[in-house]
Amino acid sequence: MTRRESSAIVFPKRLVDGENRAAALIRDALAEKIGGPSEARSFELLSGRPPRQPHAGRWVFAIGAMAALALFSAQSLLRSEQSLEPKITATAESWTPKRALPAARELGAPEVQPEPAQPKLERAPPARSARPDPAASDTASCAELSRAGKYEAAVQCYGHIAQGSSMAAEIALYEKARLESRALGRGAAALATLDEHGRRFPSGVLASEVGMTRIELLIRLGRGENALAAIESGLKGPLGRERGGDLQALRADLLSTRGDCVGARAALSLARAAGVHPSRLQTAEQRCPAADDAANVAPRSNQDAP
Amino acid sequence: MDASAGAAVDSVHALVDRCVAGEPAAWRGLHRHYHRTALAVLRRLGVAPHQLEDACQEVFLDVFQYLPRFRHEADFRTWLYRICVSHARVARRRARVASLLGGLLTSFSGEGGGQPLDEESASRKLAKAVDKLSEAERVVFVLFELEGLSGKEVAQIIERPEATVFRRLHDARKRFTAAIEEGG
Repeated sequence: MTRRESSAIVFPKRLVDGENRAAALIRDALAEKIGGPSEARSFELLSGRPPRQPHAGRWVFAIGAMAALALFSAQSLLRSEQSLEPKITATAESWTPKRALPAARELGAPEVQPEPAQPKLERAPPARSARPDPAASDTASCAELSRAGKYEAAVQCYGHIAQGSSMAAEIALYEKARLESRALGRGAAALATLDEHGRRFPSGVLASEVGMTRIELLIRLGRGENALAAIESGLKGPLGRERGGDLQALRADLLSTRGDCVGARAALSLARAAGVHPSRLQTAEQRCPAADDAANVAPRSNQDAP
Repeated sequence: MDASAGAAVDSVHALVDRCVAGEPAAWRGLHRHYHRTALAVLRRLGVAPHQLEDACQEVFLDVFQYLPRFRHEADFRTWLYRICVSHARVARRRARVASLLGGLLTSFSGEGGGQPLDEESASRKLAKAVDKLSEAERVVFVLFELEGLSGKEVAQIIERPEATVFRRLHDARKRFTAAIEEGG
C-alpha cells in the first residue's frame, strides 16, 4: 500500500508540507536520527530471550498498579497528616517486563491465546477523596492534573472552581464537560454538565463553543434526532450566526445518514457557501450524490492484531 | 499503486510467508527491514529512550508470535504500526505508574540507555509539543503527520472511522500548533 492513498475522506495537507514554525520543526525533527539500539544488537538480544511467559506482563502490571495505588493512597494519607516524607520503596526494575522470545521453531506450533497489549485499565483510577485539594483550586493546577492523566482529580478540581459565577467558573465548567466526555468517556455526565453551563451562562463567552460541543456529543451518543433538533434550534439563534457553516456540515452529515438526500444537499450547499472545508463535507457528499459510493466508505480491517 | 510499490508489497508478502514457514533468515530479514521503523514510531509515540529497547523487542515478539495469523488482508506495515501503538500505550502507562512510585523514571531524559536528546534538538521540542496531546490525539497525529500514513491506514490501525481520525487530527493540530507557539 502506498502512503497517502486516496481514501473516503480527503485529509488536508500534512503540516510538514506547510511553511510555518510547526512545519519547520517537524521537518527538522524528522531529519534527526532516532536513537536506540542497533538492529544487530537488538536482534541478538531478541534471539537470546527465553520463552515468553503468557500473561506474565499483565500480572506484573496488575500487581504493580495495585502497589502503586496502595503507595499513592498511603502517600496521600501521610501528606494530610504532614508527619512523614514519602519514601520510595520500589525501583524501576520492578517494571521491566520479563517476557521473552519463543524460538523460531516454536512459532509454527499452536500459540497461546494472544495477550492483549492494552490492559483494561485505561486511566489511573481515582485516588483522591471527593473533596478537592485546596491547593489545586486554580485553573492551572486543574490543567496540570489533566496533563498528568489524573482525569478524575482534574474533573473534581474544575468542578470546585465551577461553583463560582466568574468567567473562570464558566471556563472550568466547560473544561469539566470536555474531560468527562473525552477523557473519561462519560457522555451522559458531560451532557448534564453542558446543560448546566447553558442554564448558568446562557450568554457566556463560551456559549457557542458549548452549543457546538453539546451537538457533537449528542451525535457521538447516537442521539441523532436530538442533535438535529439542537442544530435547528441553534441555527435560529446566535449559534447559527457564529457557527452556521459548522452546523450545516453536521446537519448534512446527519440527514445523509438517515437517507434524506434532498435536505442533506441543501445543507451541503449552505455549508460550502459558509466556507466549510470540503474535507468535512466529503462523507455526506459521498452518501448522497452517488449512493453506490457509500459502500466504499471506510472499509475496516479485520486482521487480528494482538 | 505503482509498480515499485507493488513489488515492495510482494517482497514483504514473500518475506512474511518465509517467516511463517520457519525460515530463520527470513526472521532476520523482517527484523532488519522494520526495526528502524518500529523504533522511530515508538519513540514518536512517546516511549522514553530508556524504554525503547524493551518496547521494540516486545513489538517484535508479538510480530513473531502472531505472524502465522497474519492473512495479508491489510498491509504488513499497518499491522506492525498497530502493534507499535499498543506497546507504546503500555510503555507510557507503565512510565506513568512508575512515576507515581517516586519519579524514578523520567519522560525524555534518556537516562539509563538509548540516545539522550539534546536539550535544544528539534526532536526534543517536537516531543514536548506532542506530549501536550491526549493519548488518542497523539496516535493519530504521529501516524498521519510524522509517519505519513493515509487517513484510511490510520483508521484501520486505531479501528475507528476515518471521520474520527479527522476530528482527532483537527484537535491535535490545534493543540500542537498552540504548544509550538507557546514554546517559542
